Amino acid sequence: MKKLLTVSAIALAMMTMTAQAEVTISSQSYQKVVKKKKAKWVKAAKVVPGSVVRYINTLKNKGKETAQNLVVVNAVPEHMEYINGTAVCQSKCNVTYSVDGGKTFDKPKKLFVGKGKKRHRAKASEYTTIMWVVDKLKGGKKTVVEYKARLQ
Amino acid sequence: MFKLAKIIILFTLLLLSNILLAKGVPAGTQIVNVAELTYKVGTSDFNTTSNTLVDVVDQVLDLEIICQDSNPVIVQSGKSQRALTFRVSNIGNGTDKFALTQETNSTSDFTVNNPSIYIDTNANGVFDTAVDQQINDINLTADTNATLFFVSDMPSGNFASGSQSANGIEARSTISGSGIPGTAIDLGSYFAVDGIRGGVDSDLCVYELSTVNVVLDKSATLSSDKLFTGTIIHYKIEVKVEGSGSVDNVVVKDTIPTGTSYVTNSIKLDSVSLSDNGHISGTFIMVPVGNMTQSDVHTVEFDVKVY
Repeated sequence: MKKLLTVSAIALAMMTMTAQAEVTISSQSYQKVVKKKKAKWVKAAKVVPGSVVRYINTLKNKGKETAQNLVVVNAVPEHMEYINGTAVCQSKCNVTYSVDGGKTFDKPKKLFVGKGKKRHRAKASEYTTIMWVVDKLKGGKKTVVEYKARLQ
Repeated sequence: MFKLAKIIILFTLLLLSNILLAKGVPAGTQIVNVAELTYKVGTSDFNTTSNTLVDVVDQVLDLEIICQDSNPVIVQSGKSQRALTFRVSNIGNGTDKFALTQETNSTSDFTVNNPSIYIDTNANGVFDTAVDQQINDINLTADTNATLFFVSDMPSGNFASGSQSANGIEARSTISGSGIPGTAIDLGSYFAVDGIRGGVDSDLCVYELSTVNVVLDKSATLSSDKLFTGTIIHYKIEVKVEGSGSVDNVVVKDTIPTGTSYVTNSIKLDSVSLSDNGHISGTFIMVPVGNMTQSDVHTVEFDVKVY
């Protein structure tokens, strides 16, 4: 009976630890405005063709434990074109891209599209999905990954 | 009220850098962004999804109206229903209704009478009194255009040959058309924003009075009583000048009718055969006649075969 109680206590402790390691992700779009010659990013509720939109994904670790190997996958929205070199992270991370809807990811130099004579190295505007891999996020901390895209 | 004004100003600033790039994704389109996250805590795997972020594409109100007559349109004093040709294009990203008004340049040498605006109903590029419809506005979907005619009567009287009158059309978006780029109108689910022209544009074409008038008289003769496959139609176009003075660089141009084909080496000017090369191009014939004065008469002839 004592042994059973001990096992139950360990399981409860693990469940508690798991509940504390809750990481959330929220997405928000921004557009640049220029006011009095100063550029500023403000929340974008609506866009027009040609608009550059900055998408910021905020990761918050609401638990106490450190989360590791945080992988964020963000499909570039339909009608938008990814802008080269804009996928970045606030903390140390690795960024790769997909040109097949997120089935495979790689660095830009290894991404190709088209068949036969039309096969060419993918332009940034042809990327379909972006993946950020963040090493770790300590409990109670937050970080962001972001990219910019242009509305067709 | 102040808050609303602040929002509009902010929104205006936001859009000014982009409104040059109208067209594109249709107004009202939803742009959806969702990110997925997977991670580890210890040996446990977790995954979650972000909020679904939806941005709605606004409508850019932009249009372009351009005179299609690269040279002044030659008219005669007292003639009625003379047309100037324009093309109006919706270069925004949504359907818009444009109000059309006539415009006249006050510095013109003469003022035309009974101006009105017609649409090229049968889309043949030529004003047809019996076919084309008079309009005051036009509805155009994004990236479409239409040909319009400014039609008016020429004043009677003795005007110097070469007198000019500039007239045209103003087209204004009925959604906003404020004339101020960036002005935003709340349409409920999205905004409509005046483009770089402020949702309004206009252009002028020019009438030029001439005391001479080139007259074309076209006739056709069939090789059979009725039209059959193989029937040869002989066309004869007589060119003459009425009034006083001279006309330079007269060119006779005619379309080869649908259902027929040009008969090789049948083109003639004043009964002299011309080379097909340079005078026949696809579906039309083109014969330079040269300079003409009142007494000159030229005749262009060619044959087509019914197929």
